Amino acid sequence: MPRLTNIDSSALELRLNDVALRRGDLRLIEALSLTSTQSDLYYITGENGIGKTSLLLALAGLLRPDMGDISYISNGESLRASDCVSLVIQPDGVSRGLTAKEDLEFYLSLSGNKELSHSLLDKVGLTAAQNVKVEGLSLGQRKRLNLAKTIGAHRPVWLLDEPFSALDADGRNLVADTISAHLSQGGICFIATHHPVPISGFKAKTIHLSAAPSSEAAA
Amino acid sequence: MKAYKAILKRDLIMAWRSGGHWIMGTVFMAAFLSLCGIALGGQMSELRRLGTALIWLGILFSMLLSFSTIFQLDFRQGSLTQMILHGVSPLTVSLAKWTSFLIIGFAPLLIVTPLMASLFGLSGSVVMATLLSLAIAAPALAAYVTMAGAVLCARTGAGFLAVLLVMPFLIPLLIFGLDATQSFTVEGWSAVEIRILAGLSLLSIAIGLPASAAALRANLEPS
Repeated sequence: MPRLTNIDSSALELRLNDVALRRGDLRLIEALSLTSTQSDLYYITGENGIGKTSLLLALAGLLRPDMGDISYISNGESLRASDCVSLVIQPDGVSRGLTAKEDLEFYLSLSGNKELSHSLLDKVGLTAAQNVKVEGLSLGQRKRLNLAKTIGAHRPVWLLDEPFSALDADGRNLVADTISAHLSQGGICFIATHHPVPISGFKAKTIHLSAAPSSEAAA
Repeated sequence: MKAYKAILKRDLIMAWRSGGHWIMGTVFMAAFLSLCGIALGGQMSELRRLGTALIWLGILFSMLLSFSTIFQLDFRQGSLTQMILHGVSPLTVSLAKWTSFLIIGFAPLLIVTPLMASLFGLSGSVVMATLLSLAIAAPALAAYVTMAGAVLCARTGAGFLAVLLVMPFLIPLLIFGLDATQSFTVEGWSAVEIRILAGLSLLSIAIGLPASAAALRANLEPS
């Protein structure tokens, strides 16, 4: 299987073509079209239960749109979504019984990256808690652990659900800086949140989901 | 291969730290067989005749009942989704889960089988034959239980469906497993039934593991 880290993020294009998502009779998203290229930052906003997470799942290829299609294209070649994205949603996939370090190392070994777990843990400020079992971590520490996994996976497209919540001021800056670094390397970022945080140097676009047919507007 | 090893190692660590979940199957089998002994009246001649079959049934039920330990927690805590998104194929996940189930869910049963056999007064050669036939059939049993776990990983309380799903596959294994035990006691390695059982076991792996990979894919990814 080809390794995923070497996807050329400068050539990667994410295309949404007339995408519609429904849950039962409820229309979540109607006719959403966009083309996203390198260094794009999107905020997905909207009230609870409006379909923000569903959109992230659809972008990750885990939910089939009811209409339209979502494609990842690099140099004219179509890629699988699962080869391009890092997804952080609830439930976040940390394994009960493992320590924070073991959980991180497990996912690092899955993606076959040579990244050292202790430098990643240091980067997200979890060194002191590295030997704590994941079920003993606070919500904010779990967010930090997931951030370390996202960095370690080296995927060009990040799909994050509420990355700023439950974090202290220091943690929010850390997340913002990390996203900024990812964008400046040519990455793409979709963030579902109620409180968009400006990322310095990058102009964010907002996809606002509402009960009426959804609209896309540049903020 | 790397992912296979990583998942296997993780599963073994998690099972070890789970507070003894892995031993529940063994406890169930011990309770089942002891109660069988009492229910059948405790007559040694009677017990000796039925011992092998009861041990087989005990192991079968105890493996079948632990189907939900294979995938359900990982599905619920999102680990399965993350494994797939980290580029691990569903077949690799199934293979690793099948291996860890053989170690966690079956090996302890095999270890206590001689003890259980002494409860029924089975002779040494019968115990050997039972262990051998169980060891040959175990990969097949585990493959089918893994399949049930994969099909039902998104459902809670689906034990009834699991039994219904796996039962037809278990019947030939049970028939040939008991036949193999009997004829191995008499004929040793020249027993044809042992070879049939081995063939059946390989066939079951070839059916069960791809089926569970397909089930995982259906549960995690849109068709």
